[in-house]
Amino acid sequence: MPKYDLLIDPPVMNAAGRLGYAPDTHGPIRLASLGAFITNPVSLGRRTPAHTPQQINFPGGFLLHTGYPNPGLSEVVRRYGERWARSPVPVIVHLLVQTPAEVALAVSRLTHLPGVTGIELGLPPDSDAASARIFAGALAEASGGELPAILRLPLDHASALAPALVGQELAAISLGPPRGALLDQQGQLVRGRVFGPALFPLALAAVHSLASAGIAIPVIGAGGVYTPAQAQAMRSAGAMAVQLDSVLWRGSWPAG
Amino acid sequence: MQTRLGIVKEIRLSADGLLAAWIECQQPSRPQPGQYLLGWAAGDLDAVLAAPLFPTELADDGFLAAGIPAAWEPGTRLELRGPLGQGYNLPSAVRRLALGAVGGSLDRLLPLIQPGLQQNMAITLYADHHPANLPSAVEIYPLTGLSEALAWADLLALDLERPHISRLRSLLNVEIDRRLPCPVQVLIRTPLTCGGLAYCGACAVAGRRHWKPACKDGPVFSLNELDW
Repeated sequence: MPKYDLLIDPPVMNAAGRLGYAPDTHGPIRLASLGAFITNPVSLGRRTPAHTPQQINFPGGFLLHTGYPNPGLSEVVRRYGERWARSPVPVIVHLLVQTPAEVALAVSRLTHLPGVTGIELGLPPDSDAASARIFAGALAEASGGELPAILRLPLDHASALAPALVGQELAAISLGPPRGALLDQQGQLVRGRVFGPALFPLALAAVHSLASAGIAIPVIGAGGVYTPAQAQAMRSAGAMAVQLDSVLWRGSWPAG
Repeated sequence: MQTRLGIVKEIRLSADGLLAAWIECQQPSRPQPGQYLLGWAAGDLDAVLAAPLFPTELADDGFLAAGIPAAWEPGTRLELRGPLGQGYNLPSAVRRLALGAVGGSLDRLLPLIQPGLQQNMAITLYADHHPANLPSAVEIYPLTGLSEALAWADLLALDLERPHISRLRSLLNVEIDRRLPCPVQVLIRTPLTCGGLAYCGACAVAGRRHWKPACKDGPVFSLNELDW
């Protein structure tokens, strides 16, 4: 089956989970500056927030533990499908799945939806190379050339997982936030995703490693990008495009 | 996304002893009690996220915000987004206003005192500690007496950290499914990570039917809306 080429122009997009489920003209970045909009992570069924959601700051970043709450794919499509169809920016739906079977089911509900121009799949936590290959295969088969398929790898394991994806019909690999742990104010260990400018050196190294690894899958860089110069550095390192994450919650991204 | 400019005019300590900044800003940017702005120092490339700024004092030309980043100083120029969220609603018909600082923090309740006194309200404060410079017209009681406020007040305004929601029923001495004797508005303190941009879930508060984002649907809620 043919690989669907992904064109992101301008080569900037928001990372999944940063700007909600549909583009907003009043958001922190001009929509004309985005080559694509990625939705919040969406699971097949509804997910409620973590029992004790937390944000824990550390120098250069923060850890977020939220549980990926979302109303479930059917409800998201019902609420936002029309906005996707009218969106001036191509919409890529980010899927949160637990099994390869869920991939097929979720993708089938999105194929042919107006405005949906791609799928990004986040690997379940602690996925190894074998399961990465299985999910990549399921994603490629489910999208069947109808929708570009992006597989998101945690940036701290991307270089180890990427070789397993050689030969998979993916439009791109993107980088997701690594997982870490910090102590909360009560001294309890809290695990979650890590964001912030302190990640940029790790992310840039991952982009460079992936782009020069010979896996022949385009790389979308992400992780701690807080300035246009950093975005350009990722492009120069070989990224076809760059995702912006927590910088979008701080304030507006420079226009142009 | 529209942001407006503000400037730090003065650094002080708040009533709770936190680092606070008097922020001069134009009227559209001024938050009401219980609302917040998100602010970051223009050009500060080291700022990871914007800082939530709740008013602890209000004036026509700005407000005092407690819990600011340590790097801010007089003259710091700020980019401000907001006002955001739902604040306290102080109807003019209220004659008896009770305030309750559950968990010890008063800063976000204090802006209710001046407008309340201007409207000739009787005001009581239930707290385990209080600043020395409160108006003498405000009567102060220990937090353990909070249940008495429900019988006395026309409106009870609370401020508490999210984990303390589970304490409310015993503090107010109200049985499940019993109607509250007076309206209760409660500011729930949570992280405000995305400031309403993304439904990230960090500020999730349990509502009666589904979770609510405090950044957008709060941080001030009617207690009847919540699963407490």
